[in-house]
Amino acid sequence: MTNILHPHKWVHLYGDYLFSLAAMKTGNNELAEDLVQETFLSAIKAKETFRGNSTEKTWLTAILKNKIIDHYRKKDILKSADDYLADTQQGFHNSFFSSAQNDFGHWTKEASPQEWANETADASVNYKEFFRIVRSCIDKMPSRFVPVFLSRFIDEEDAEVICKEFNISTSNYWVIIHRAKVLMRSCLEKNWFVT
Amino acid sequence: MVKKTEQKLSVKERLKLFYHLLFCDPCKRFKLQTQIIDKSLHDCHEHLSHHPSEMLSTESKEKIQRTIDSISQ
Repeated sequence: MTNILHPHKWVHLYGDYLFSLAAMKTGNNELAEDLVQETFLSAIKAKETFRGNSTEKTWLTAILKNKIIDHYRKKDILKSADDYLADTQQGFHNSFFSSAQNDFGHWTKEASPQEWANETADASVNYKEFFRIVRSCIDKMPSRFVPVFLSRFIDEEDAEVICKEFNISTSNYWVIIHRAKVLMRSCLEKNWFVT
Repeated sequence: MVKKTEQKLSVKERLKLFYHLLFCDPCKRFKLQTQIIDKSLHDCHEHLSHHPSEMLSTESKEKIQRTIDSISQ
């Protein structure tokens, strides 16, 4: 691997990829375009720090990832998470589960996960379209869940890192991950997977 | 179940989940389907780099390229 960068090729090689990633993570194409440009500019300014132990693409992806985290932190989107989660607990529960008879509760008839006809048809998946649907499902998610969901499932950060990054408690982290998973599965079932 | 994918459960929690899953078909489907979704999202960077879901317009690409060229010389 080499530590020589090729900024003149970046837009051609990584422009659409980084733009797709930023658009999916922010739900806003205009902002996504700005973030891609800022990523390239920051990368040029920090080019001395590129050691070549990751690829150019991985390095640029990491810079973009940090810019998106900063964007969500600036919006302070997770402030008063305790109150928000407590206030919306009943509404969320009632949308998916009937009154809890034990710790697990029971799925309501309408929200109960259905068999997917195409769940194993991985090879035939049209990823371009699939990630457009994922983006629309992220857009529909309560905005407070989005940064945590992205860090966990797209960037695969550890729980501990995410809690620190967004200043949330471990128990709030679990509530958010649980609800985000239930919402994402349900949204994809309605809009992508054939039942 | 969501917790189990990320950290170890206590013996009591594991047994409770095991028995619940024995009798709960929707929960079994939830488990399988969320695994499929996790895997797709796990591969997101790879897929998007080969099949971008969005395209920058030609004008935007030219504009960004000009900005890069102006500071990287």
